[in-house]
Amino acid sequence: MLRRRWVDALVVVVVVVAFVLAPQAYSNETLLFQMMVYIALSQGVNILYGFTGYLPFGYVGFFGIGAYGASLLMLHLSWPPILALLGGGAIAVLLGLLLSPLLRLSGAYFAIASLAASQAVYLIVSNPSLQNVTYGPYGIQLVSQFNPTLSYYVMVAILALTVAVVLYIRRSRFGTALQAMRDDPVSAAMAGVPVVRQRTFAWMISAAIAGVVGGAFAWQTSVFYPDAVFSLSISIFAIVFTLFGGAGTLLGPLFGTVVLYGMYNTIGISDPQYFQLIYGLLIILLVLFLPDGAASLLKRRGTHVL
Amino acid sequence: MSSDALLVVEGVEKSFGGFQALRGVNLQVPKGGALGLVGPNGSGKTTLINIISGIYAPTAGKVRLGGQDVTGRLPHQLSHLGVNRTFQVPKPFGSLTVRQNVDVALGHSRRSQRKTDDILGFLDLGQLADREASSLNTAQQKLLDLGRALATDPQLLLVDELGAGLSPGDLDLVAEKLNALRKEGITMLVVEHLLGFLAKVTDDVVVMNAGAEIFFGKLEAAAKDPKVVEVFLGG
Repeated sequence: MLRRRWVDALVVVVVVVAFVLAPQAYSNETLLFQMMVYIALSQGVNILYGFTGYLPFGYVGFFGIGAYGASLLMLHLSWPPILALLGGGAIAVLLGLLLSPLLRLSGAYFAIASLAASQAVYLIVSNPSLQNVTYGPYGIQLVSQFNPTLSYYVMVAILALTVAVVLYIRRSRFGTALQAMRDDPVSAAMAGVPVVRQRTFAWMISAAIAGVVGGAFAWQTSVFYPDAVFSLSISIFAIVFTLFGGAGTLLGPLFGTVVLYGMYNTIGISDPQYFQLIYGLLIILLVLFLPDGAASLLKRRGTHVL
Repeated sequence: MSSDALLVVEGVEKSFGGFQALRGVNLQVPKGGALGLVGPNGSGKTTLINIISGIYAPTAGKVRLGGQDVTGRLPHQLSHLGVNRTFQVPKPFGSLTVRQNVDVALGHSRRSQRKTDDILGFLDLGQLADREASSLNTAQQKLLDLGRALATDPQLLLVDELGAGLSPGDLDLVAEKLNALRKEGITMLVVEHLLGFLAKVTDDVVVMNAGAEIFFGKLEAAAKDPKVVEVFLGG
């Protein structure tokens, strides 16, 4: 037990040190920031999909509402950025609570309904009639709050916390219960697990992560339009990274994000045609040969993947 | 109503759209007793078990446990009250180990003093404790289903076709386990098609047909009852 705690602590420390030192070796801080954003988002997807089996295509809704929530708290109520980020997370949790009846659905129905819900939130936020509140389609400008260095280190802290939360879930009775529910919800209920409550709790944790990360993204970016933070591609990236690495593990989604997002930034921008070809091939190969992600390569050999 | 009855089912009805699966079922199981539930396919046995275990809410009627009305309680609430079950098709947590399967139930039980190793030992699953549950054969998965139920320390165990698909040797072994559990004081309602198995583990049987009970009494007497004979062999 003690050894496991040391391993967990070591993982968190390695992640923190890697991203604190990375700007010394690689000058594109924006890319590093966005990589952290996607690692955290893929862990949020991981909590929901990897542990409960619910695939949230509309996950970007929490990210977008977090970005807007945090920004509006800074602009309208003059909240300090770090507090506003937490506020963004809280607003995402409230949205999660509002959308929790979606968890009555499952499989493709849930995936599509969550996507529709995220688009509904996008349409409300970007509605010109709400210009006085959300700035409608004209976007957000956080000029006086802009602080790329501080926001970078705050994102490192958010990432460390996210990794710690996933590690805790993996080791805890709560996490085992979530996996039991994913395998068979009826049997889990008979085992005494309050299925609806536990699943809703996982949904809220996942929403909170996306909300806070969305707030951090808004703070770092400082000027953005609604479609930038409600873009479906954010959900798709987070889901693909998670599936590529291996849902239900901590290191799988982390590995998936570093490899695929790294690849996206090396060849996706300079040679988008080759990038799309390679990406497409990778996903086809993944679905055909490694449906449980890259982590399953190690698991098949009997290696435990954290 | 008998005062020593642990489970009382009163006039339970269940409709699925226009189809009436249960038409006012009444039965009682005395504390520490074992009642068999037999009937042709589609007679409503599993529907009744699903209602008693909270998976379905009845359309009408009451379910009482030790005198307390538990009608419409959710499965996890009933589990906490000491009602548990096995499934006709076993439902293990496939990605978890055998030990974790039992641990999940133990960890969420508000009653249990049992220990995982004792349960796995009793069910002869000790050697498989660290195997993934999905890798077990059907007979082992059925025993694991029973182990998950036992981990919640049930006072009422609903056994849904535990014997189906087992070899004669396994059947004797399972009957032995169920009788040992009865000796511990666990009350049972046993759904089964295998009458020889049922004779070994129950006192009385209720025969159901088309959503209603048509016979209550000893299994040997059921075989001579004209209504039961008509249902099973045709008029």
